[in-house]
Amino acid sequence: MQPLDPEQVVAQIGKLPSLPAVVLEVLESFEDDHADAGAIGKKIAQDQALSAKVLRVANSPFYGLQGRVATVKDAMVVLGFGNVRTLVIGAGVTGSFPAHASGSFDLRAFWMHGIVAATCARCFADDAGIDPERAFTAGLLHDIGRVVLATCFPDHYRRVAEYRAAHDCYPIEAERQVLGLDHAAVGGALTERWKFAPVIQQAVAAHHCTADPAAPGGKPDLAGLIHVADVAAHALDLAGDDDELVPQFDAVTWTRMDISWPRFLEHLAQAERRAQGAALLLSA
Amino acid sequence: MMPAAASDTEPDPEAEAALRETALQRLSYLFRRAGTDPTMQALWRAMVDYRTEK
Repeated sequence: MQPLDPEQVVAQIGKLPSLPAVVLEVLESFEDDHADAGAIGKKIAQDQALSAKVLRVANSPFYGLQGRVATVKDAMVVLGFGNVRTLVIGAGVTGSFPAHASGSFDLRAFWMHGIVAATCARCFADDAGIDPERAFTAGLLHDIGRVVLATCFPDHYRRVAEYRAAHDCYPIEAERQVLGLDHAAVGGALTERWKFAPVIQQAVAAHHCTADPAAPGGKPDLAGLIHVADVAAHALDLAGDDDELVPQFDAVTWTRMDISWPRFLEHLAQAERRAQGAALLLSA
Repeated sequence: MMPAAASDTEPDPEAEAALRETALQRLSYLFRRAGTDPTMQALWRAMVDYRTEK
């Protein structure tokens, strides 16, 4: 089988549907300090499927408000605009690839890993000095290129899975070997098409890159934070992947996080609890 | 006299040991490519604490 031509991949990404208009509007509000939360809330409420998912998570045990969040307006009051925004983006993005289109690719395990990485990123965000909403969104999307490859090029991606099984290697190694490109680059291209902020595009594209030890120190950027969250999510092993494999942890990025292992584990415990609630986004 | 039945809350050392062993085996599998890298080894030890001391 021939490797994929990057132009062919970009052309396929161009044919994928856009995100729902209300999700795009929520995304734009990240860049607007004066965004009208009330008006955006009304638009969210008009999308029944989206608002049902948001309310299901808002009423999950994690928030301790079971049954008390009846409307999107209630959710905005008790959870805050920021939390509702990330839930809307989560519901919109996870619903953007229908399960039947992904063939043998385990879409539920894929999104579960994304949700765990997102909650890990959110919990680590303060330690890196990064906005937790952006961290959650980038964590959720970090592997999105994998689902693009699996749905647009199912025969190729089946070969990737076979190569990985035969060599017990990391998915990114199998992709580079079989396809000549990897999900990080494809994810970067999709988040650009979906008009995510450049910092999120860069984080998705670079989450497998190691930090340059010669570069100036300081806290990791969003890509570095997502690398940490990705490793943590694989180590938590909540996606239900029998062949789970923890990626190599970049020592420079970890050192720059400058947190102790006990604090790391406190974040993991909180991320695990949050993920159980956020997983309700995956219910039909 | 019959001994009192163990309460539901009393820990069962054998069951706990079995759970710990299962958790360690799964972690070993997850970290099968970790090698001797010090950061990966530290992460492995942290995850052993997390999974066996919860």
